[in-house]
Amino acid sequence: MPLNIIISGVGGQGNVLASQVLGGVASDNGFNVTIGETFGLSQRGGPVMSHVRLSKKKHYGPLIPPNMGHVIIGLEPLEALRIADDFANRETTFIVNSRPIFPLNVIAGDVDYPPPEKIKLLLSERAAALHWIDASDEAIKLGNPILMNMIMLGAACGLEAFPFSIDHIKNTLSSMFPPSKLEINAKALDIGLNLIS
Amino acid sequence: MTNLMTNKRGGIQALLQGNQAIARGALEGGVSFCAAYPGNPSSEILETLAEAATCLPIYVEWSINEKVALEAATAASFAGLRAIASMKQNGVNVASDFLTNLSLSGIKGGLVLVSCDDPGGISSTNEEDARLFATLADIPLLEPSTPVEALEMTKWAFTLSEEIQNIVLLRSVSRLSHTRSNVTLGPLPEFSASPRVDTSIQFHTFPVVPKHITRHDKLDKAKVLFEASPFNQYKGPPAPELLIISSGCASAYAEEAVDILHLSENVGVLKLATTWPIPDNLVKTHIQSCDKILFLEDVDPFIENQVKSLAADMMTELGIKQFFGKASGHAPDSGEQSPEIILRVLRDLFGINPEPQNRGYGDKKRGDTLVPPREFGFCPGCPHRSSYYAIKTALAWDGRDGFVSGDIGCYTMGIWPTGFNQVKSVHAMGAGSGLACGYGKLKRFGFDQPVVTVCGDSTFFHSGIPPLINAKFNQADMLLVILDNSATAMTGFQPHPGTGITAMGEKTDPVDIEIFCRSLNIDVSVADPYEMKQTAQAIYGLVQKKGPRVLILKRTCALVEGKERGFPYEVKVNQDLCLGEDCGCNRYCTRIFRCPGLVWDEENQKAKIDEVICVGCGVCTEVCPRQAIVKKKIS
Amino acid sequence: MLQEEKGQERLLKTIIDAGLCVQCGACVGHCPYFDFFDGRVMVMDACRSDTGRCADVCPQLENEDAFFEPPPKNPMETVRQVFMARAMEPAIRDRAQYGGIVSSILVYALKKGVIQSAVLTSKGEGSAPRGVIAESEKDILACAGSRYSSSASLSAFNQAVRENRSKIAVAGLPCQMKALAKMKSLDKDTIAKHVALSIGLFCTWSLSHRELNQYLMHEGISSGVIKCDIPPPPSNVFKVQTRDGWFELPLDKVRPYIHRGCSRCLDMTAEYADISVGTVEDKDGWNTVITRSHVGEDMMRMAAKDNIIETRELPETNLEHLKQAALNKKKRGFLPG
Repeated sequence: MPLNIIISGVGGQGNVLASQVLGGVASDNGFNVTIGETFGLSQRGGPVMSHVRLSKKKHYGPLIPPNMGHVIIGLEPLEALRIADDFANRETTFIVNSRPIFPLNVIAGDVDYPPPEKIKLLLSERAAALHWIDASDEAIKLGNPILMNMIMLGAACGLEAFPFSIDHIKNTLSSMFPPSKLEINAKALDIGLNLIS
Repeated sequence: MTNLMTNKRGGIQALLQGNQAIARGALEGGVSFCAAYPGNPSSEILETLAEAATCLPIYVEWSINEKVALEAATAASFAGLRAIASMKQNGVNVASDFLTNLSLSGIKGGLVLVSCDDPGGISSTNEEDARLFATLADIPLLEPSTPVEALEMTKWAFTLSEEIQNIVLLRSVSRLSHTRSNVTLGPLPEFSASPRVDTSIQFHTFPVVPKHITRHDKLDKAKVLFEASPFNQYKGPPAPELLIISSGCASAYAEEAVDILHLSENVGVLKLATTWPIPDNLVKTHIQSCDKILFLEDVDPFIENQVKSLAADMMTELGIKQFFGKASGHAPDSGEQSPEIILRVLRDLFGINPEPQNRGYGDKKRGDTLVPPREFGFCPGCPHRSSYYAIKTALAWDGRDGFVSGDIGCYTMGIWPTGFNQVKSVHAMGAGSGLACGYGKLKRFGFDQPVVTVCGDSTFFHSGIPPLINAKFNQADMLLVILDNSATAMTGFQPHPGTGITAMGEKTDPVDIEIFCRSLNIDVSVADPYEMKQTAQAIYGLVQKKGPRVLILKRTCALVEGKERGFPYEVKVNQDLCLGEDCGCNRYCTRIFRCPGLVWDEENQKAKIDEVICVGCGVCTEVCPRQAIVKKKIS
Repeated sequence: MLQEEKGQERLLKTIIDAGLCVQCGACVGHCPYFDFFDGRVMVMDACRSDTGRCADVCPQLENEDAFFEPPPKNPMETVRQVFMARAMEPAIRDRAQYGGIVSSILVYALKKGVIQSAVLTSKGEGSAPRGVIAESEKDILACAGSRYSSSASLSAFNQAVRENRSKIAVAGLPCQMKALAKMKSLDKDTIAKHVALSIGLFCTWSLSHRELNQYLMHEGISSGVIKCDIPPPPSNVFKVQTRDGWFELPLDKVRPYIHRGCSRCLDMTAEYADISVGTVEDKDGWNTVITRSHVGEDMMRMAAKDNIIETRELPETNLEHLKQAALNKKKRGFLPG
């Protein structure tokens, strides 16, 4: 059985980059990697979902079968909730960024965004563990909101179900990013890990 | 990525997207000439090749449309070079007239047409199975199912094409094109192109019938090669209870489903990758040893119908089989295949109940979890929002139930609240204008609804020009509003004739849309969509006129503008003036105008600007009934 | 009658979509959901609010209950005085369609400081007549003359209110006077206090500018309308002045462009105004004047005293004909359809 990790968020949050980094880390550590991306009009406000499937034995298909997600990284609370019924099970670990991105129809007053307490409750009912972290707030403190995705990856390293360490990720990053970008991204990873412990 | 793509020795592993794998496969296959038109999910193929062209001696171009792309690539083939043309499924429709003639005339240098289909229409106006063009044009069809196969099969496609002397169709789907996997790169060949058209050969289609026969012979040749192809693979017991015949991603889902349901002793999966012409003998060998066959594929029952037809021909030999698939209702005949669907079909066929752990999840329906869908919208500062607002205003002023005939691009979203639901029809590239030619002649029957046609700059070049000329020729009452944002935005900002730069980064003399339209001697005007009231007045005036009229709404795409020049204003809401939900406003700005930079302050029950999202275009200041939104110029 | 919809929805359903709007403009200019453009009041978007000043001030909305009311005793409702009058100032009389009373009273009120601005209807000069805020004698005189199509001029009143003006005069049609009265009763603290004088014009019906214009263009009259006139019976023509001169059209050909909503109106003599002004049958150059409030009565008395206007008793036959005409309009309006 492969390790199934889902990264779910809104277009523009760096979902695809995060899945690429994760895939790169896995590949560097001997895993067969398949990353399935679902993005339609993601740049225009739509959801993005990456299915990352890791196995030492072989390559799996790009979509995770129903309710077989091991780790679900929600870059945005509503997007974590959206996929919970389809992909979570009683053993799943959720790690969710607390800051909402309000859809246009919520801003326009047509529908309500579920209150965070409700989202937390619903997610907890559907998983073994829920980690609710203020990754966006930390990213803003660091100086750039886009670093949220790295903070989330760093936080994921603190999960039992996650097979990689911060050092694994940092190693891969050094071959993916130019040196000018490395320091801040490494810092983001560290901050993320701290948020879990 | 460029380093990876241009790596000559190969032997290294990389995490490649299906489209990147196709591009690399083309390079490893010795391609010299690459042409395409942007279209999701195919665009990355040419983008990747264009980057590689900075270091490798290949030619890469964004053509004006897919027909010209295929024709241009074919010229290289006629001159003995290896060439590739890539497009989405709708692009194959556009190129099809040339394609079905080309397969009669034959080619010289290896020529590959890549179609990236979009099952489920995730980012398309339809879902369509371009594999059917292989049967229509009598050309071989390859269907890789993983990025590894995509690379290998693209590479092989050039060899295949030269061996049978015809174009080869390689079919990908979104789920493959955008899937990443670790792929091992092979070496790049020595690029040595010396193009020459052998004038003793004639690349035409006459006489038609004998050439048709020859075309069939070429297919037979391909079939022989397909029988031995290592890309067709079987996994399972020698005489399974159920044989799954599948192609593309469905194969991987099927294999995994068999594992999950512990059916590896009962079910075998025959993954076909060379799917037209079907390797008869291979298929026969497998269906001989079982009675139940299940077909899993995207989108149409393509393999299903062929195998059924084969089984019917061989019925006396093979006996009667039971087929499950789209025709029987076991597999859906629309939408994308998924692990969920395949698990359900297998459970049904084998009478297996769902896992206990999954009970309880099915019970918790979506409705219970109150998850609102995410509405799509134009970016903050997008000129299309302003254009549609002006159109909406003008049509409301007119009061005769006018509407917009839409086309393809970011502005297609005019069908949704972000574009004030103005657009009432969208079909194919240029179709909005074609329809307008028809609407423009209905007056004699008493039709009086104003029709505003919208078309983007890239779409205009692709196929918006002939209908405009038609309107002139047939004196149709057509008002064409060209939304010129100087970009092919929806697909990722690929260059087009108006942008002044090519795929390979060379500067070029841009084609001026205004000058072009004026050359037709029709009513042409230009306006700035950011000036919404003035634009509305212009549109209102134009709507009262007759004959072909063009209004060019010129304003750079906000994403481009933001990157290149930035916006001039700091925008704020004066909450003392804001009426909020009171009579006189009722959240007009957030509810109707709906720019993501303009949000609702729940605490104060007023509107406010989200500084992170607002770009500072200042357009919304025009919208507030109390002038509570103010803009200040920043130095 | 059970009313489920409120606000704009109610207005849309019962009046606008039913084709009963008379383009008074009361709903225009208060919010972005209505607009007046090229001679027509349009709904721009759905407001979706439960409350709605628009429905509260629409003069047409009350008419639904019309046939439950008993017929009135005096077909002209509240009347303090009825008489004939005309402007003394020759310059005003020259520009006037009839007696010049409206212009001269407004100019006088402005000079005396009773009003600071007046909401009037522009001439149009080739495009649709619309509401304007007149602040000087020049402005007022520029608006002199009869308009036969609606201008939604109350939109200018809404603008004046937003601009925090006080001592506003409003001149308009009976429907507009009724809408104004509704606005005043809804908003006693601001609007009621800021309206200093209302002058209503007698009206049998009003035309839709846009449709009239289309008809005129169809008849080959393409440069815009400057002035209209309907000579008294037995003449059955509609006269139109454009830059190219005067044109005559059969009145019956123009009748289709009367607002459908006018057929439901019961008010010929502008019953909600301080002063109501109309023509005098068979007497060119004079106006019939009705004062209905002490504001109106005081204004006319002062103007007469200061020799701004000349007044005379209205002949009995004229008064009887006027009452009959007013009653006829009520009878027509009572019968639905």
